[in-house]
Amino acid sequence: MASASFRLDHVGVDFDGVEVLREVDLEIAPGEQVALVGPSGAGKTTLLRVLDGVVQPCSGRMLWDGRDVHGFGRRELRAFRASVGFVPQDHGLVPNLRVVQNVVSGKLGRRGFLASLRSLVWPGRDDLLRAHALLERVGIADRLFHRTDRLSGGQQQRVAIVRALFQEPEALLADEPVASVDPARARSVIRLLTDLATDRGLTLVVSLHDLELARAFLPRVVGLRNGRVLFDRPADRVSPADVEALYAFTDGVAAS
Amino acid sequence: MNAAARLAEVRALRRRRPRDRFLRGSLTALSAFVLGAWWWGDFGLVRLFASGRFARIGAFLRDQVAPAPLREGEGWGAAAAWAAEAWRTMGYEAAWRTLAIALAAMALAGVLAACVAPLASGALMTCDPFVPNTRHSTVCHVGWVVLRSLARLGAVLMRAVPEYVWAFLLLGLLGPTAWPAVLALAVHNGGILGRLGADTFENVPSGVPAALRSLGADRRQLLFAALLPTTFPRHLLFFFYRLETCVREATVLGMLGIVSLGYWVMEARARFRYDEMVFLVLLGVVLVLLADVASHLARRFAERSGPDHRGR
Amino acid sequence: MSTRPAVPPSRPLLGRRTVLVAAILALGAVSGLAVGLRPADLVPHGRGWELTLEFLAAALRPALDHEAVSVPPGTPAFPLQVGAALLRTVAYALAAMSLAVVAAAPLALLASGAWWRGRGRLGSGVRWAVRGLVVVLRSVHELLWAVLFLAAFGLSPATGLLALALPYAGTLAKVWSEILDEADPRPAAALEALGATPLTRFLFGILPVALPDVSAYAFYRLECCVRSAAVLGFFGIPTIGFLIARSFENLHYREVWAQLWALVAVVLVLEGWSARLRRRFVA
Repeated sequence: MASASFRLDHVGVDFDGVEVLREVDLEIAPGEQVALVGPSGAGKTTLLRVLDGVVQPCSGRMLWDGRDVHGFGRRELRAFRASVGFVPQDHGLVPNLRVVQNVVSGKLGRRGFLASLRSLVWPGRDDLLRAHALLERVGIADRLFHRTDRLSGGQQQRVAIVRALFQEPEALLADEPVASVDPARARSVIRLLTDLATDRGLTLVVSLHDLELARAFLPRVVGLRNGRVLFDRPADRVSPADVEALYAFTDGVAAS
Repeated sequence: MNAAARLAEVRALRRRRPRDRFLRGSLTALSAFVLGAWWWGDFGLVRLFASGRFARIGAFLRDQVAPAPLREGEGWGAAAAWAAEAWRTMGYEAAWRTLAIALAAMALAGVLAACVAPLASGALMTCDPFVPNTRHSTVCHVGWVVLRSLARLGAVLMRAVPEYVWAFLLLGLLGPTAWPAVLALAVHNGGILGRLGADTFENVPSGVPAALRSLGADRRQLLFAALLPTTFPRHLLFFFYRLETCVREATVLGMLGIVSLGYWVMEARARFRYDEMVFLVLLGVVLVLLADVASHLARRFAERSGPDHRGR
Repeated sequence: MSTRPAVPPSRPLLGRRTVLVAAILALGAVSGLAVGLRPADLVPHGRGWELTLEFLAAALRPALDHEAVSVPPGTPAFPLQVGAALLRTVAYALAAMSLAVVAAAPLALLASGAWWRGRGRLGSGVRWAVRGLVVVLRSVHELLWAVLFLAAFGLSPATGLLALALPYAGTLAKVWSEILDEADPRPAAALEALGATPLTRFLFGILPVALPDVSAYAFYRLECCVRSAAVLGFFGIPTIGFLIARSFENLHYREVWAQLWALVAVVLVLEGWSARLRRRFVA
């Protein structure tokens, strides 16, 4: 499977005059696995949404596989979004549909209207087999036909991951996947994401607020603070000073 | 797992999928009832559209509904004068009387609901409210259930009978004043608000009332110190929802001969003045719209008046 | 700059709520006086007393048979007559609601902001036009529709049906469009992020989320529609209201109560059913 590269040049985003990202320079190579760390409000989610093509940069350039996203028409934008899998923090699943329907909706970006309609009302054999195989990979194959809101929070998260994989993406983005799970579970979720990305050669970007977890599982860590990139290094070279700067912000004593 | 084995597994999972029998049964029954209703009812809907009568609607609008001055080619100025005259002679009185009946009825409905809601709520009407797992005699238990059920039954009877039927019955018993309309609206809406109020009391989290109860508060104190303050905005919300419906309903009670908008509608019809009749119906639309806007504003006000609003 | 002592926060003498309740009661009282409500008129006079007492007593002894000494030949037995009228009432409500649902579905879509999101300028124009239509449909009471139809075509079963269906379609469309707009936006946002078009985003991200509330509301309106269909009986449609009016005018109060209790029973059954369905949906 192909994997995607991203390049951000001086990217800035503001919502209603509030600067959320400023002057972000970031290059992510195909197949690379990156952790975005920083306290809440640092701009991690917005950065992920820029990478997913949902938020357009207000300034600077965002290149996807070397192509400037800014010039994309509606069709190209759709294709771009379809080839980046996004696992939102709130999972974004339809609670009263069955698991299979939520998973199959991962293909909405690649199918026409009638094919989408058919696949959701009466999923074809190939869709069923693929959905089952992916659910089996994350350990909840027996939930294929259950109503999604009857699943536990952790199981729902795995359904959201499977929906993103069902897209056949080139990159996988996960927003705070361990925000509301206990430490032991958190490790297994991160390991699942890195394993899946490694298996399929996907580019992986995970946002986390726990620096230790990021250093333990992801080879590259990008520290985000106040909408700016604070540091960007291999995990084993994140210095105590970096940690200090990140925590200084968390305490509310902005160092800028 | 090879494809064939996986397919067999998927099929097995589909066979075993959790199904909601009640939901499916309800859906099937409802579809059957709808089909049955159309088959048995013989409403003649197709005949209506096929008959010439429906095609004559254009002529009816042109010859009967268009204001008299327009029909006689006197232009829009004359039509405006006609409308002003209709407003002066009937519209004004019809409008304010309809609104007044609705307002008086809703005030009364609020009072009725305030009496019914605590009596019908399972939260208060038990042997020992907000104290779990206490042992009481069967007599005590059954006694409270009977009291509560009587209040609930009262509320059910009040709201299950339509306003128009209440007004018709009361008119026969009380004679032609505004009372039948006001009472009919008050009884029906009082029943609805009483039930909603009782449900709201039952959904109050038991923390505060249980704490007060353990300090020895009696039922009245529980109601006024714990239940009412925490649920007040919800009651107001329901009240203003019903206010709008009540105005809409008040427009038609006049058809029974009580003075509200409906009275003048029927009177214009009796004179075969369909232009005036439609003018009054449109006036009713304006009244309902006004009530809609007022109720919307009041609901926003009520939402902001609650303690649960702060911090949001 | 002079420094002033801090003023301790004080609670106003009359809270917002007290003022609101007092205002409602005062407005109610003034309105009551204006339309000439006098407590004295609440007491029936003359023969009214007797009738009222008789009427109230009849509530506990509903009739099981015709009260008239002789009924025209060919009249069905009383319970059968009431049962048939009730069935017809429910049939009118079901047929009218099925028409209303079919008409309200497109109107609700066109009146909702969720449907038009991401579809440019044209949308908001169409949306406001449809909302206007919906408001007019709904603001005219079903009995006023009935009177209008009576004038235009003569009242027949078909026009009675339409008189019910039009305002109910309006109400359904209004509330449904509000439900669609208040549906949890997160699933739809997730689908947009994976490349769904505005149409598929709406159909698979918003419609299913809103469906439980949409069906629960339709069911609640069915219950209201049964009551409205009963009232159409006062205008000559052969529902239970027709029998109630006739029995009451003949002073057959025990018949009236039998009919009222039967109507209450039907409404209660529907209410119980819809409450159970709603619990399924929400849980």
